[in-house]
Amino acid sequence: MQSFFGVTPAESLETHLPVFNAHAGFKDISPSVSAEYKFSDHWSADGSVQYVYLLNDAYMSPVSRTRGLGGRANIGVFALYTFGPHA
Amino acid sequence: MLTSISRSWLRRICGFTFTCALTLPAHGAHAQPIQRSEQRLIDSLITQLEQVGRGPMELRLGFGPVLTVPDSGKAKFHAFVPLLSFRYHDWFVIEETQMRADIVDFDRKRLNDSDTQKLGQAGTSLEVGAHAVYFYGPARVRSPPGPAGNICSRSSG
Repeated sequence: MQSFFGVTPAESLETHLPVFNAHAGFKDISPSVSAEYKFSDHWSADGSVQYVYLLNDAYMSPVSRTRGLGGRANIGVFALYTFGPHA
Repeated sequence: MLTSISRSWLRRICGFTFTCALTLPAHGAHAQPIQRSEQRLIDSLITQLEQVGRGPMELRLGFGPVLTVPDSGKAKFHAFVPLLSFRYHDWFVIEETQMRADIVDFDRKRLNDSDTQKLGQAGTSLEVGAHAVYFYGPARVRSPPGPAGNICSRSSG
């Protein structure tokens, strides 16, 4: 957690962000719904909607708050190829 | 997840069937054919149980566009986001690792804010979580009910 959301004193001097010690714990909750349709044994399409909400120190971190990363939705559409003999 | 659900349901069916098989002989002349039928059903279910968890190794690669809409600030469009999933025998599954890594902005060098860019790139992390999957015909609906945990190792910034 500290790797991504913590700010050390040295980093604080360089970035002007306040020092922040992020402790290990649950980082986010991210409910999502996706649907997949198989066109063939190997090819399929996947549509996904995901909402990511940061928790605990991840939410409180100046790294997150500076960027307004408290919560966000991700909407994606993917083409997928499945490898394997029994795809 | 599907594997555990299937096993759970099959165990329940087997348990119910086993109870019926024990009680059927008391019904007289019809007991023998029904018993054979029950035995065939049990054998079939056991065969199904044995098949569960013996799936082949499966690697899936994909790509697609993703739109990220934050609670505050401007939406961001990612034209190309790779998607990787790997499954081995239904008990080792990796899904959406690339999608999350790219979209959740773990790589702090990619943040636009100049201050956060100076923080540099973060190290490797391990995330654990859970999700439930429901298959409906050829389609699949997935809904993770629980929060995702995060275990990180400290690295030089």
